[in-house]
Amino acid sequence: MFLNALEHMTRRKLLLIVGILSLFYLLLFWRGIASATPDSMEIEGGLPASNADIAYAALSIAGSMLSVMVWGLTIILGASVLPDEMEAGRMSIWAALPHSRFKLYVATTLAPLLVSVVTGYILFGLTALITSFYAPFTPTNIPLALISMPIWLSATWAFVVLFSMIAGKIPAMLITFILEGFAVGMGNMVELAKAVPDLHESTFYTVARIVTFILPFERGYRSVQMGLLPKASMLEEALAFMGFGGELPMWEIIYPAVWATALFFVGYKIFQKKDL
Amino acid sequence: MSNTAITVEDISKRFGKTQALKTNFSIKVSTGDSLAILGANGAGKTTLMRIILGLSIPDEGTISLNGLHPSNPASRIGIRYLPERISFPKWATPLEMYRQFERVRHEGREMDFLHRAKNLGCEDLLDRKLGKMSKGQRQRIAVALMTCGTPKTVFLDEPSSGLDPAGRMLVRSTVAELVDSGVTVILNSHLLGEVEKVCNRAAFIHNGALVAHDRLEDLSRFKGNVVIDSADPVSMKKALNNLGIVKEKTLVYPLASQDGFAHFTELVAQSGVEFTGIKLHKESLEDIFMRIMEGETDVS
Repeated sequence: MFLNALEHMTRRKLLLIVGILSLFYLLLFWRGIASATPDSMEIEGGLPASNADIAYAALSIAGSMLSVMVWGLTIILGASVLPDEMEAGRMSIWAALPHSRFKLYVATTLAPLLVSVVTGYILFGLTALITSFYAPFTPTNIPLALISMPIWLSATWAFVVLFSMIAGKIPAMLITFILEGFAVGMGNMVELAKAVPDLHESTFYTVARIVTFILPFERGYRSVQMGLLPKASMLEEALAFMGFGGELPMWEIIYPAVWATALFFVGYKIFQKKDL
Repeated sequence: MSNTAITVEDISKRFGKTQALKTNFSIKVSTGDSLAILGANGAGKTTLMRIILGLSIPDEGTISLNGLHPSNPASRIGIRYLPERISFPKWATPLEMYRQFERVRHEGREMDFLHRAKNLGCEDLLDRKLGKMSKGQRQRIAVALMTCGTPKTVFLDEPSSGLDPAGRMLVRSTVAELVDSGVTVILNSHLLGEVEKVCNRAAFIHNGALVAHDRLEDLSRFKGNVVIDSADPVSMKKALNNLGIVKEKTLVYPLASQDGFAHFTELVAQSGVEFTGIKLHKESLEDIFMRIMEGETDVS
């Protein structure tokens, strides 16, 4: 069944659009990074930028764009996978076949996650590769970036799949987009507080911290960044004052995966009792 | 092996304020039966089918499919379900869809599907994308997908929907073929004339309640006449005390009770007038349907 779901996913026009947009983006990125040299850039204090600084800047900017694209893809695919099959009447046929509802739920919903994660790997991987041609750098922790990618996207995926069963496709997309934006803002606030310790005292920080626990959508993305960005960059500190980047303790890296697993099982409980 | 394919005991189902199936809804279907589920629109026919298949969860009661609870995947081995409304992915060809189903059911051979598609007159559509087919063509493919191979029980919800007369005839003969080969068929259709030709039992649902369930011949009431097919119905009438009404090549003769049918047949044989057939004039399925839907639920 997983292969069937994957086939349905990969033959959607949306993926073609994402593919074309990605290609267009990568070509633009290639041109952009090719024109950047250490001499062409200087950082605070008039010091020349190192390759690591260029890579840091390029990957930070590109990462923000890519994260929106991959996030968007996860939301759209995750929100539509179950409602589309039900609306088309296919879910009842799949469910009438000799396999359990759990298997059907897992196979159907994991397909969009896999597509999103693979898309994320390709886009972030190619971006890092292109960057390394022009500004050779050593990522901080590649295994962390690799592991964090599915963790990051699974939080969004589990939430949007669950919500699509409660509210339907379009409301699930909109609500997830809004909450994700909110969670990213709050996450930036939490990271900013690391650079500005006085912020720890504010109520706003407390609220932001709570939000990152309730909606840990961006924690995973920060760990992707943590793993992918070059360590020896002077830009890291400068960007920390904008709430960008930031190091997470291990439990905060793992937490979104636990959260996503819990939501996934709540989603299954709803699916189990749903009239298909 | 049990000869009961389906057991439904005391189920009920409510959708919000609508009571789709009323309390104490029970029905049994034996292996090899061909059961027509009949009733007006919204009576609860599709809901019943979906509950049996485990697609819809009843509020109360128990279901057994192939001797197992429908939540057990093994209960659905050999089960095929054609819903009333299905939209295949536009990009897929019928062969691709067949392979997708077979990845899960592992029950048939591609040859069986090709054979069924040929019988349904759609063998030339197998490589065409489903999005480029007409509604009728897609319906033929859907029937072929759900009836090919060696199913044990087939649930068909309005299988002739959107089909032209030729298509309907092919679907009917497909269903008849399944019935002849011992497959249990559960058919939900408004085409009573077709149902009558392929089903041996009928269950009538009215406002969510099972109002009648029996063999078709037992549901059908005697209408007080015998119909005699003869090349010379006028002579036949004369030979039978000049009673009855001649209609083209038949004589419709009044008979007080169907108990006297055997004796009457002997009289006809002794009349000396040639005849080619003799049968009791009984209600058609349409007559039964109308009688039951008009509220007369006593079918005994």
